[in-house]
Amino acid sequence: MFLAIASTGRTATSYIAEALNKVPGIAALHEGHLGNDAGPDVLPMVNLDNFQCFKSASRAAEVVAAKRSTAVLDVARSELGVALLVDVAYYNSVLLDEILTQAPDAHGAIIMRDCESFVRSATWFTGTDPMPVGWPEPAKELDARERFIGMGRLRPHTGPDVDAWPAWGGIERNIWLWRTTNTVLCDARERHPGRVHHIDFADFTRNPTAVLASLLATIGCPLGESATGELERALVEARSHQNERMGGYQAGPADTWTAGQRRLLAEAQMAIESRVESLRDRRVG
Amino acid sequence: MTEGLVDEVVAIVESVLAARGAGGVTVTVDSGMANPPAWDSLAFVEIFTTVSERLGLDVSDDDAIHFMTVREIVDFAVANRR
Repeated sequence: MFLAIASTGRTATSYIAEALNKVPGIAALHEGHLGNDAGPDVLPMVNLDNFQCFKSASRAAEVVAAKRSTAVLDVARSELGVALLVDVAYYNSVLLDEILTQAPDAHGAIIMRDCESFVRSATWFTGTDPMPVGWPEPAKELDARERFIGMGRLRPHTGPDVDAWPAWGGIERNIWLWRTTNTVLCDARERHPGRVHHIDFADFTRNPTAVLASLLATIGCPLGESATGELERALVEARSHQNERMGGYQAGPADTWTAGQRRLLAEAQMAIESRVESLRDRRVG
Repeated sequence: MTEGLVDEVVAIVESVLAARGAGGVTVTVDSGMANPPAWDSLAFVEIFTTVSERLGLDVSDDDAIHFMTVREIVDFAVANRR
């Protein structure tokens, strides 16, 4: 079985991959690398395809057929000798719908973080962003890794946001990135009810073991007592690595933002919260 | 003409990789990211920039997707060279 975990990024994805990879019977990848970014490539790279797949559903279908097909996933799972292969990656946001369409037994999980803390975490004004998932302040100098990841990052390609984009700073761009990514994630959940599982990032940070154990049980891969203990230990160990990687916040809280930034934040939050509620209601109904 | 361009792109990629400490790596028309392993994401950015400059290609980050292999770079250069 394959589980694609998707989010905006800055949702402890490397932490989750590193911990899940230590659970017997599970091989977990972070953006295609086994365990963490230093691990060997297991799945073909799709970072640069990210923006192209966002722009074009047919391109997403082609990329999944070539790089995330059931054949590709089965070979990887078989070579690693596990029952469950997990890939935790920001690019799964634009691939999830197509992965679930092409792999009928695959599942997805979407991690949703509140907009303000995502933007604060993802917006860098100076120095090197150690986890460059968000848009930097436009004037910031980029190293090669930041530039490479930025080449595939989502940006407006149609509509009025294309014209607004050049004048936006990092905060506005990351509000747009949060809203757009979460809209795509909600779209995937709507199209594949019962196969895309929602994780609230705040719930996860409060009790990561319970949230991940519940997710695995929901997709039909329940952990026994021993494996749950392994997961708990792995999460504690991975958390110390995570803290080294995060690098702190450079953007202040929303009450220090401009009125225009706060308006964009409020609009984005309202749109996504209403969408999440609507999907939750539909499922309950 | 395309053959000459292949040789030119291969030479540029080899020089970038050599400058990054991977001298002696063989690059062919079938080479691309991760093959050879020295063509990683950091080398990619340098290859993208250097090839564009040396071949006189006017590129934006949207075009990066066409720089994943030597063959793709050559195809892109044929279509877009000034």
